[in-house]
Amino acid sequence: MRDKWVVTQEAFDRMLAWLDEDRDKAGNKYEDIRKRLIKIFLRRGCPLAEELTDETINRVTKKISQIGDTYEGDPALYFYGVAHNVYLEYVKKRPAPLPIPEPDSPETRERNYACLEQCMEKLSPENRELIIEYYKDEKQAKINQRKELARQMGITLNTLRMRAHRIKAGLQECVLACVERKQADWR
Amino acid sequence: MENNVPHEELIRRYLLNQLADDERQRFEMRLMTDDELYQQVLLSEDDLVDEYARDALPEGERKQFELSFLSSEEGRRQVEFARELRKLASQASARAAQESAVSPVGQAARRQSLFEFLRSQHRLMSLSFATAALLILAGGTWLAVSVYRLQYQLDLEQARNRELMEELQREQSERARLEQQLAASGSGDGGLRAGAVVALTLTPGATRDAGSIARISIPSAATVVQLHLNLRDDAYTSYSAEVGPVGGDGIWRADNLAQSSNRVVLSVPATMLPAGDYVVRLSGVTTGGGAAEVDRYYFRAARD
Repeated sequence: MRDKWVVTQEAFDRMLAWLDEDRDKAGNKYEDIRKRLIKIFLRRGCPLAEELTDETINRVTKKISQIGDTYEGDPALYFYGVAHNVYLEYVKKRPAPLPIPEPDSPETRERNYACLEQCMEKLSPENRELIIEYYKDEKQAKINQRKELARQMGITLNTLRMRAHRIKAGLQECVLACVERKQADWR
Repeated sequence: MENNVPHEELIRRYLLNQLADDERQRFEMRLMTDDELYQQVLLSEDDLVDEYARDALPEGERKQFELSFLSSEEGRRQVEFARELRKLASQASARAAQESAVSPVGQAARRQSLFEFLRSQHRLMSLSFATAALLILAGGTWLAVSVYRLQYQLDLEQARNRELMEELQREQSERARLEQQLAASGSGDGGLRAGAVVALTLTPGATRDAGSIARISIPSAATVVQLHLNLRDDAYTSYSAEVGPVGGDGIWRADNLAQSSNRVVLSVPATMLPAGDYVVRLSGVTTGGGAAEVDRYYFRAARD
């Protein structure tokens, strides 16, 4: 990887302004681009997806003064082009594979599960029931069970999937925060 | 994007790193800008992780999943969370099933004490009291149910009436617009009356097999092709639709389409449809303003 170019506030602001004149919208677009790049690197099997994404953003930020006025098209695609080059360099370098982490200890698993139980209690009764019905074990095929659940709720299967996804994402954030709190308390 | 592949399958192949390099790049470029595709990728990812956590992936996909997902901390966390969630959901469901199995016993116990109370009174009086109570209860319940049913039927009829009025207005506006359009373009083809519209009804889920694809023959003087899209359900209040050649980009799009009688009607200028195979991608507009693809419809256009 090339030597890290330090992003200045001024350069970052220029990059945001390139995304959108409105700073709030620009911030949202930046976050959106960042999370999509992370997803792409992850799906390409890169364990250091966030670092590669940050490298991509750094390079684009550095280039803004040269391309900002002349580039035509969706800026997201420019980020993608740079990300692809970053990926090729990463693959060429063939970094040593990261060691496979040890599985979680029983205490860790118990702590995580306790956090999940706590977070489930914070859900509304409707959301809690939806998640339980969506993820519980059933003898019938999962897809049929979920279609039936969607039918009972009077919504399409895709709408059910979206709701389950949103609730699950919220639970994951809650569990992460709970685990960090417990770890901090333990220290 | 690869031709003729349904969205779900293509997304799954992408997630399992089964796409060729150029195909993957095309997919990823679209992923960077297409909100709907990104949302669907997140949902499919959830499904894939869930399947892996339940040991439900076929062997070949399992290996690819592990290479793609388990190489990162994020992926391992997703799988572990899915396992915990499944365990918790199953335990909660089993607990709920146990509790509902216990409650009939409680109800029987309560009934028994009521009968004992009645038996403690004079036999004739207790019998009269019980009979009167039952009659009042039954009468009241019947009355409440009848009122509810009648109110429900009334609401249904009123809603149906409103729908029909709206549909009539829409048809009248559409007719006026088409007549205007034809008048403006000039009828170059003698013998075809003003407002020439050809219509085709499409059903979701139909395949593109040569024998079963819906077909429409478009006369040269036709100005509008009206596509009537039957819906599986009416989960959304408004829809958007995009028409394009199979395997190609969209060429015509309409937003803010309302459904009526479980159908969405899309009017496409006939000039946009040379002979060929087409796909209509119908999306429902969510309350948050986003769009979720609902169905696809295929048809073959021939020109006279």
